[in-house]
Amino acid sequence: MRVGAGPSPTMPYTTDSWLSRRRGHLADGTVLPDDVLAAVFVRLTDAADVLRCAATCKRWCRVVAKDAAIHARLLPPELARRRAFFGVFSQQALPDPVPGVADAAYHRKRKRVSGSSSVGHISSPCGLIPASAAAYWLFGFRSPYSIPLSNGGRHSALLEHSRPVAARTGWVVLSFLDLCVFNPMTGEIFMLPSLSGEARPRCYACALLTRDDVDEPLPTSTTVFFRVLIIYNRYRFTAFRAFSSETSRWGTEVARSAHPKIDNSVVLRGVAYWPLRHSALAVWLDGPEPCEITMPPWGIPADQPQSLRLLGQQKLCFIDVLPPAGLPCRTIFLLTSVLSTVDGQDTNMLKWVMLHGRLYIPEMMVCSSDDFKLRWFCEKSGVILFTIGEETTHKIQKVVDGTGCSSWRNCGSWRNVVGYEMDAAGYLASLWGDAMAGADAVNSVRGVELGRMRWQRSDADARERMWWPAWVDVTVAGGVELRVGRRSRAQMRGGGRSSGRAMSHVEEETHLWVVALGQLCPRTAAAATWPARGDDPGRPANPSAVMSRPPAHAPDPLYRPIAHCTSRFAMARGHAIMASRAPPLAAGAHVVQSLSAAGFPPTTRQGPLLRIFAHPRNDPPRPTPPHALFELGGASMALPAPFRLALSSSSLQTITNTLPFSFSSRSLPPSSTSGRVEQSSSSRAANRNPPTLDGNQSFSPPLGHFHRKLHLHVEPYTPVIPVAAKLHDELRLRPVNLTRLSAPRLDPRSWLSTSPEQAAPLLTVDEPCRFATVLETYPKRLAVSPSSFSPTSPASVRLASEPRDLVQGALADGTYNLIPANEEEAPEGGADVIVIDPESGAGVAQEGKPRSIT
Amino acid sequence: MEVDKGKGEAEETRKVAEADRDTVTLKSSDGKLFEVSKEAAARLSTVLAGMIAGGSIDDNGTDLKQIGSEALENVVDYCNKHANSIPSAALISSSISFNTAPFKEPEEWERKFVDRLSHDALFDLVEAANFLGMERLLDVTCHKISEMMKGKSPDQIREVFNIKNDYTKEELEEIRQELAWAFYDD
Repeated sequence: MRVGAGPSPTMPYTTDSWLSRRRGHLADGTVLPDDVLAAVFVRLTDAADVLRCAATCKRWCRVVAKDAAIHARLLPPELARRRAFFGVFSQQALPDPVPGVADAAYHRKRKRVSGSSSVGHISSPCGLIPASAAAYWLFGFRSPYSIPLSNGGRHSALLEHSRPVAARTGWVVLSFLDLCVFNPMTGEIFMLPSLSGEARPRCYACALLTRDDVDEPLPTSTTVFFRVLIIYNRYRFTAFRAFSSETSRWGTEVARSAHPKIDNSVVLRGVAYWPLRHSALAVWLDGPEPCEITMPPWGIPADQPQSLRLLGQQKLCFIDVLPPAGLPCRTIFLLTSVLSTVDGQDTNMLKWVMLHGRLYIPEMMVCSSDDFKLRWFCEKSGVILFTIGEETTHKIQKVVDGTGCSSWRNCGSWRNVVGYEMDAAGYLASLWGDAMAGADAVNSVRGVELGRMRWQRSDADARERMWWPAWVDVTVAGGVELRVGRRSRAQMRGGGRSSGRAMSHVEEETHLWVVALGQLCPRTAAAATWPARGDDPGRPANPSAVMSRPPAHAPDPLYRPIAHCTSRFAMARGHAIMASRAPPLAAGAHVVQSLSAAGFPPTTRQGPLLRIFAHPRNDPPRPTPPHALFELGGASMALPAPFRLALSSSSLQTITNTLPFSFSSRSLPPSSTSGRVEQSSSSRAANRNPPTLDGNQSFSPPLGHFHRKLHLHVEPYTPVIPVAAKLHDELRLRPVNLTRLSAPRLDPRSWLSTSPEQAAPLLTVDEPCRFATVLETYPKRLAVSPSSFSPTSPASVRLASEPRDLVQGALADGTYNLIPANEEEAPEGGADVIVIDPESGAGVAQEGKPRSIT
Repeated sequence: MEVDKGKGEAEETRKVAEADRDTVTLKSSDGKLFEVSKEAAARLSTVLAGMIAGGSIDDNGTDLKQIGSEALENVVDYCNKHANSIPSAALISSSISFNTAPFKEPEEWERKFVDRLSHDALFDLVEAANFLGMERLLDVTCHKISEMMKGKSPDQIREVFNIKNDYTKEELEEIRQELAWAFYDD
């Protein structure tokens, strides 16, 4: 039953993971060989020195990345923590579950399993859904972008059919035939020895203890340290058993009398906790043998279903979701039960202290608690994963990260949801991921990722919604190419909303705005570029707060989802992509204004952020077309009062009113223009000055603005691959089958269609992702910050009043500085309630602030 | 008598041979011969200790093709100096991998020893030490090199170590942005 008669568990296999692939020797750099360099770097006592060395050349970088685990200890803790949340491991339930599908819940229900590690059955592959991928969901796709773990290598089968059972600080425990401990960032796999015969547990829960949990420094010769605790039910008792990487073997079975039903654990200071009905089961893991710790036997209200309960940590706490009372509401009531010492008594005396909280989620409607399921608590980053309904998985994530929040839909079929957090070593190793990857990888990854950003609509929609482009295509090659197209005049006729306008107007006013404000990159998303929490409480800490709402002067509902998208991307410092009906310029200015109000981007960059190219017809996009129309951004990105970007028939021109950008604006040479932007029959526009715009004043573009088609080639100045995407690439994985998921088919040939008419097949997808759809689901999309119970500024909320911090801290950032009950009086009314309602904010700039606190 | 005499001679020759074996002859890549005391060699270099124990020492000069004469001279120099200085017990016992062994600050003479070397000589020496498995010498030289890196900007490091920058401008910018805190001083 043993998988691979391989070496002892402490001798890791190393798969060909994206990190380990970088370790090849190259004869560049100095004469010093890699091992000597490694020895030198280890002598450095300042992480900054190490990082600067890594920035000298790629070989040195590789050497540093190789010893990331050692250097990571030097990293400032807040830096190592910032990017902790990385993604979610999950499996999708197969449409028709068959026995043996790696679905523990299914098995438990039917009681006909021979253990969670059933043999030889086909299960849906376990995949990692990077947090960054959630952003793509905003474009209306049905499935999150999942990265299968298998890489076609030696352990492909193992990884593909494994079931994630636990994860902690960079490591994930997978269950196939036996357990294995896997680090996806480095590719290391440790196979645990089989438990055979009597010792083999049937169903088990699992906890993982890693190096980070050990207080005293380990011997430096210990490169890998982990303990795996499994807990399982025998006929009359519950037993647990631990595996230690030091001894490379399973310990003896320790029995316990009760028969708890347990699932996910948290590990806190060497103790693994599982929620029980009235209390918690605690097993001390940081010793030679696991032993149970006595917990207060009662104190937790037991009327909660298990699915609504999760253990949090730092200070051990239960997080309970109270069902809403009947009517659908946007508020989730949380009950946090914190374990705290009772003062004046024996110090071992512990009791559960309850705190009430309320989580207001403006974008989400919760109908009943039946749908609500808490899934996972990410211990380092404080992220709580929960699903709502059969359709939705929402992720609550700290905004303070800068990664913001995102939501996934249609994840009701997810099984075995395990949140994955990088450890510091993984973070350090990922720092140079971009630099290490070749240009091909960039392109191919981009092709996979960005190629999915596509909206399409049917003819019917085109008639209904006049102002939406017939199709919008975002494809990829070396950058982002953005194609805005219309079908034809005839097809646009009859739009109710714009019936009063001339047809030429209709065509003109199809605009797609691209404001690339950095890279669409999870790595940089969390970089220290947002105003840090507490920096300036007066201003919104996150542009999303500012931008999550359309401006008052853009009443078109179509604007709204786009603005939503825009905000998400902007929040991730990605391409802010924005489409709007007229007045486009006002809208564009608004975006920039909003970003400006948010202090975006705070860091200075050398060089432009974005180059926009006109693209010759629909040729396959080239990485760098010769004629850049203009560049946005620059060294002095003191941002933006409104900037102007006007499209005229012959050229793209930038109009800088207050000149916040260092634009380089060039008109296309006439010769190139003809091929790129199809001239309008109206010659008026060509001779007309590009319109300007002040403030919020609306702008009516000139007639004959552009008639049929404009191909813009937008190239982010700094090509960057998302870490997650890189992971995908290096693991050589396949993109998700979109057809099955009823998302638009991606046919590369269709991208190359040379005219809107020929692009017609694009519109006959199985189930077009329309913006109407997006609108419907918009209320469900969510961004919530547990740190403040709001998607808005944590800092401003925190300043509001003191007792609130009790609850905030409880769910917040991993520092549960909860005050024992006797020290802090419960607030009057019994509950701490924070209601933040960005929807009702009148002014855009004020939206980030808490509006009412009751 | 004859037999006895012959026996005596044989003993003498063995003594001579033993005396010979008090030192180890090492041959650099360019054919130069260096002698180092066997005791010091075995104590300071795990590789030489293994060769001595395994009997693969060639009296006519053990070929060390990877080490140039200059570096080998420094190695021998270090061995001799080390034999003169008081060996510390901790030093000898710590024969774990250089990556993980607790590092002891170089002593004064060791500091001077590496300080007088040019960069090239130092790099050659560290490679030789790495090849010969000389933990302490590797410690000392690596410490010296790491001191050369400390507090320097990437550009300065490139200059010192003669590194060709193979990052693109964009990549560098990206790194700088991500690691802004590490680049505060340049």
